[in-house]
Amino acid sequence: MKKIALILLSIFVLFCVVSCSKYEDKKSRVVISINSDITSLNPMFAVSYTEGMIAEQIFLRLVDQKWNNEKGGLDTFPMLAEKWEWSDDSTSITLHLRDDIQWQDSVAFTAEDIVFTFDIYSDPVTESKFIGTFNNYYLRDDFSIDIEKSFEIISDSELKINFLSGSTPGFFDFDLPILPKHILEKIDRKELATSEFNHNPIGNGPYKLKSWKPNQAIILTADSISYLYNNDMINELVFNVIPDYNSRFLQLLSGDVDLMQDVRVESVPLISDKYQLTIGKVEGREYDYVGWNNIDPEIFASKGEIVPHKLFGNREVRKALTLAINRKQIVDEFMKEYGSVASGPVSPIFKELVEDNLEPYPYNPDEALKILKNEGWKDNNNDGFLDKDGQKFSFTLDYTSGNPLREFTANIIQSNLSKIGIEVLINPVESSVFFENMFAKSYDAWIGGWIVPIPVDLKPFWYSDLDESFPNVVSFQNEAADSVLEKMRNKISVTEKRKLYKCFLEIMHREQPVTFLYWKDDIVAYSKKIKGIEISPLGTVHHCWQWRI
Amino acid sequence: MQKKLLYILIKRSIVSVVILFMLVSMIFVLLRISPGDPAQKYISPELNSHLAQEVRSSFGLDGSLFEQYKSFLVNIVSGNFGISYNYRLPVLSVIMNYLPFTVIFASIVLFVQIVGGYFLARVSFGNINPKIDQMLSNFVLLFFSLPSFVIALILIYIFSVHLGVLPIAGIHSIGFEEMSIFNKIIDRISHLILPVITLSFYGVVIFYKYLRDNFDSVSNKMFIHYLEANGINKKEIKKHIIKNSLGTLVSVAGVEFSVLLGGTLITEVIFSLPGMGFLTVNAILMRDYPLIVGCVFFSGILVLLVNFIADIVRALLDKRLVKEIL
Repeated sequence: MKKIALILLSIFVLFCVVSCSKYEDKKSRVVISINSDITSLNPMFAVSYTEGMIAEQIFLRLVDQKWNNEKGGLDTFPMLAEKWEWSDDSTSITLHLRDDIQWQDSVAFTAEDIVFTFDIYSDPVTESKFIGTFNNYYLRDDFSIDIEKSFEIISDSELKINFLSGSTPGFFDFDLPILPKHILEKIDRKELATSEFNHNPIGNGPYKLKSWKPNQAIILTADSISYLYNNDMINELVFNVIPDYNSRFLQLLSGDVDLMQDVRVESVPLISDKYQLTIGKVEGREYDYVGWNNIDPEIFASKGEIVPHKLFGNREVRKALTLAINRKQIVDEFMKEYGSVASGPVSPIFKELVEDNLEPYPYNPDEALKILKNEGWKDNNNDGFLDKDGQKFSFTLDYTSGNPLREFTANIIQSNLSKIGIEVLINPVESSVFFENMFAKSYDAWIGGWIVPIPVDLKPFWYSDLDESFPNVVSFQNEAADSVLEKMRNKISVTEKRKLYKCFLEIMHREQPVTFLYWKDDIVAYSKKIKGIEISPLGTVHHCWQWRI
Repeated sequence: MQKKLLYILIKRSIVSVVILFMLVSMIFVLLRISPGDPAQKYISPELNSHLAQEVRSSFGLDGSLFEQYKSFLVNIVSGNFGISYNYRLPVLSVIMNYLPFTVIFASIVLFVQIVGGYFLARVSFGNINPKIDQMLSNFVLLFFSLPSFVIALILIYIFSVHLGVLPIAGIHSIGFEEMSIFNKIIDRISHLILPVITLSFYGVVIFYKYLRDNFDSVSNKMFIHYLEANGINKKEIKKHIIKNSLGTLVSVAGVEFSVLLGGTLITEVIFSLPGMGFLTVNAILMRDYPLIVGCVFFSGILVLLVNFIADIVRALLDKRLVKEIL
């Protein structure tokens, strides 16, 4: 028996010793941790942030967008299109394409690829994530792009795009990853969503897919035929799937992972100098809010009628609730320097649109109570809770389970509001169930979050037409806000745009359709060996072909 | 004997088909009545609201429940589990990315559990010092009470972070493809050491306890006393005790192996292993109906198969049990 024990022990020690001298070759490789596997590398189905992040290394866009921190907006640079000319009325653009671009199977890239890409992107049959988003193009009845009217191929390297007359197109209307026509045209459009191409893509970017092991790693390798290729660029990008946060963080500290996004605030002090890591942050364009359902959810569900919510249908009550929630405490105690109190739906990083954000309402429970009393909410039956016409001020606050920040926030809100006589029942809900109910507008109050899109587009979130703007989950309806939102989409100067944003933010501040809680920064930690990382609101891995070791 | 075996096979197959049919039907109904939308990931302010409807329609979710169930049954009978909503690949090919690893990993873990449990039970049983026996018993109980994620984190801290001798996660290192065959083998094994140890603790203790109790119980049986009274040497008697104690071990091994094949979520998540547990839970979270049914179906088949094999082995060890199995 002792012999067996000795043999087992020796084997274990042997493996430990051998694995100590493990294979080391990390000279031109960067390992990036991701928290879940991806499902498609085809940009038309790359719905998640991670899928988009990896796919953009494989497929180039017509133009390249870079974040200009000073301006607080985007600058546009050439990519597949090396130059362009807008027409005088800005409703058409002529693109001059690079002639040195090849697909990874050595077939030349041409203007035909661009036209085909927009055709399948907009075709509802394909289930592309872009369907229904080409509002500035000439469209057919099924909302796909009318290719004949919208595109004119002048030559293999010259293309004219005609937009709707009177529309206000911008770079974002055509700044999409381009797909290879010669491969995808052979696939039935209905079969595209399940095609092999989504897992073995042929792109034209600086990197190509080397291997994809399910739930393990996606490895990209530098493609020497790309015009962006450089001998000094990182040879291999490894996107390592590590679902468990602790495991991800330990691998970052041990050096097995070179770059980790979404580092938790509480982990930051553990990253000491000995780990040779740099901590950066992507300044927030993501905010959390308390959604106050402006309409009665039961009547809306049963009759489809819009009736103000019995608690939150009144803007003064919503303002009082904002005043009664100590948002600074949440930021100071949980987010520390990686967050800030929000006052509206436009992040301070968009300096070109918003010069000075309005000051958030301070924490003032006395003022809140005064407003509520003016609105008729008093503790008439001395049970410690406010009531009005026999109705107790009590509601359930729903939020997604497994989110420590929202759990902390829910507890603070419960505690803050109980101090002014409002009963809050907090209810963590599984995310899939939560989102289904939230979009069905069936909650009274909830903690949710939005990421402000680039370019900023506020209309879907706050426009009164609830069919047109499904993200307006609080059912906020305001004519003045609608008028401003419509004007924002017109062809206007930057100064006029700023005025409109200021006006809109004032309406939001006054109406408090939701309580804007905080802006969240994404904390990134990466090895000091990587040089040239630009952390911007567009992401950390954006432009990683410019990284060096 | 052959006739009996054929009879058992036919009977078990029929029962298995009925169980599997009931299992997948129950899962089908439960999924449809549970809240959650399979097209949830297509609902976003950046996407057009019609996309989710298009996707739901392509998933076949716009028909009535009865129509969906009818086409589901037709597909299952023809061996078609459909296309995974999330991966947009045939369910079978998604499962095949995870199942082989799960089977191999579960087999290794079961082997370690049996060997470890048997080894400890033999040490404990053969030891004449009751204090050491008691100490061993208490010691294994300590490990039994520790949750697997605690054991995993302790092992990772000691062997990966502190000593740096074993990898933290994954089933192989980056750059695996360029390694020599010897390095590949070492690399694979070194990646499996910590997860196997983590998962084995619980099973080792189970097998140890069962075997230890069985050794005691069998050694007090009349036939052992008879052998002792006839002056048979202790070594020979021990052989009889061990052989007669193994029946329960096979039953427990069958159950344990079924559990391991169903997936061991926490260990798979901590060590980033491509196992069935992780796949199934992710499918549930994403409301990937075809994949959930596929995972449940395959787990069901494996559980039935393993239990059947366990029964056969038990019958081979003790022919009196054939009647019980029948």
